Amino acid sequence: MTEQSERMAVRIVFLLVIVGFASSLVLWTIDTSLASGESLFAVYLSIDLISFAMISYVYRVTKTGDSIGRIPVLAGCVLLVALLVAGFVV
Amino acid sequence: MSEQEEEKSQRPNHPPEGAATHERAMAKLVHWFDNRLGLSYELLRPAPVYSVNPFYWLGALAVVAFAIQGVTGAIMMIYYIPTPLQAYSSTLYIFQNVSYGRFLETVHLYTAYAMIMLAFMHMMRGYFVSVNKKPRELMWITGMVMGFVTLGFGFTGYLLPWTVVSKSATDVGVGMMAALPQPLSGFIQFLVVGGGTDSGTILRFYDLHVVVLPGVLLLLLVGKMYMLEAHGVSEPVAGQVPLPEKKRRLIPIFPDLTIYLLELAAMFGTAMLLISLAFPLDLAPEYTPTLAAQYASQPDWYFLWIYQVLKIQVFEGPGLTVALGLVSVIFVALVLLPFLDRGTTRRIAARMRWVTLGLIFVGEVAVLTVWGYLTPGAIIPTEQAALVLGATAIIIALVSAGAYKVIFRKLPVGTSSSDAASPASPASPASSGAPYATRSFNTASLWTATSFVALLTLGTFGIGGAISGAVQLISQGIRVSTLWSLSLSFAELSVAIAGTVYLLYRLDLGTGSIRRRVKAFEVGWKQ
Repeated sequence: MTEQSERMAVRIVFLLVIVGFASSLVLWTIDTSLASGESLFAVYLSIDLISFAMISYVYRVTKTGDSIGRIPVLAGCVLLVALLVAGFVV
Repeated sequence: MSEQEEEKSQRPNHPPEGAATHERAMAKLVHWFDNRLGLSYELLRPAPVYSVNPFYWLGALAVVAFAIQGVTGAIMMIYYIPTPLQAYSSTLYIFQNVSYGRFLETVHLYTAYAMIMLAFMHMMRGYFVSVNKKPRELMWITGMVMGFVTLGFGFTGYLLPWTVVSKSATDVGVGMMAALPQPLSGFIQFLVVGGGTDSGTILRFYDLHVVVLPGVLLLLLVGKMYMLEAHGVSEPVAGQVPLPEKKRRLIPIFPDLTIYLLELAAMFGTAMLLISLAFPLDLAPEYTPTLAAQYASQPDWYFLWIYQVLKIQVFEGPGLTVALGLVSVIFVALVLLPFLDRGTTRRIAARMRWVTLGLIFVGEVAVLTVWGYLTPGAIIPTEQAALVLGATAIIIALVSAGAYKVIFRKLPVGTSSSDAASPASPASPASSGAPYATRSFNTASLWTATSFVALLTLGTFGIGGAISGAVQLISQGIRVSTLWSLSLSFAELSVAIAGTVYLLYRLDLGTGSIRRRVKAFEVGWKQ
């Protein structure tokens, strides 16, 4: 793996850790008595899971020395953005 | 450094010398766990790189689904009361009063559906790539029994909410068991129904669902994992030949493959959460005999194909035993597959008959399920059933034959790595110069295969539309819109059949193998 892609991997993981941490914080603040709580719970837990899956992917790929695929990272980012938007809508 | 410390430092996850700070920190963390749990060293042997592929992890994902069901089910058990009087009200209480109760029920149900679907996909993948060959026969049989246990989960869990839909469907299932020959019928009846009272039945179903079946499944899982450790992961049967060294390289179970599984599990969990959010469950009304009389009893979708077979007119009354016998024969044949498919090669190219049979099975199950969904409670005329099931089988067989001709014609002889190295697949006639071998697609083949798939899809829509139109004609009388829809479906079906025949004709121009066998096809044949 080149130094450039290694730097990119660190940046991606750093951002994902922040996203995962923030969504975990939101999960703890949800009012479970509200009807919208279910939707928020599902959306933010999904954000957490996707962040975790992407961090795992980056770790696994960098460990084997392969380059990080653009499509999985882009797909993951698009899904995360969509879920974040959905988090504001529901 | 002591000998023990030196040995530990040579483990695969020890921080490498000269690595970057973040790499060292991560590797140190992994190493800490590895040293204490011995995950990569003592417990499980490493697996080859080619197993980093979702198709190799369908069974593992079914286990993940089982774990999710365990967690959601355990929470519901706190509130659920398994008696006919309180089953529905306690389920309703979970829906209305427990925080996220409805969501919990929805996730539990959809994960159960996913588990059944994943188990089916795992089985069919195993069938097509022939993982049941020596020495993995017992693994296959164990997997099949696990599949039956999974269906048992579905059957027993469906009754528990005590809705009119679930109770009526269970009554149909229990009634079918009575038609089985003795002593099998008596034994199953004793196991699931007992004295025949509602309270006895629900308690037995609950006991089977939360204690007996999970226990049996876990025991079988341990057995299967042990056999997997003994035999290792089976080699792929397609792709680059021979398998490159890079793909054969071994990687540790912990952390590499564990992380891969967690990655898949996280994606699966997300899918389940979002599907549950998009399609929340609605609880049907409570069961009462009066209300049940107004409903057309229908089992859940995974049993619908069996129920549709039983609804064929010829199997009405005393014929029910014959129908159940036929379905049982299919299940027994699947369990005993390693002893029926005696060929030594695992290659798809050399197993046309078995692959086609598998495709027909999948096609028939899909057609029967959709058909059953469209015709709840309707008796199917025998001629109609013969036409639909026969046409499905013929179309799939034709498409399969065509696809084989396209993909595996003009084959260069080669040795598949799976045949050369795996004890599950010793050297076959194919590897010693027989006409079938593996080769990569070229563009023309890809286009032809795409055409076949398109024709198959068109044919499926045609069959589906024709069934739907015929049912509407019978149930609602002759209408112009129904006749139009029926004509369109027949036109689709005709195009699919004509297209398939034409494509086969074009393909046979080069080889002439159909022409040699079917004399009638010589008419108009041009070289």
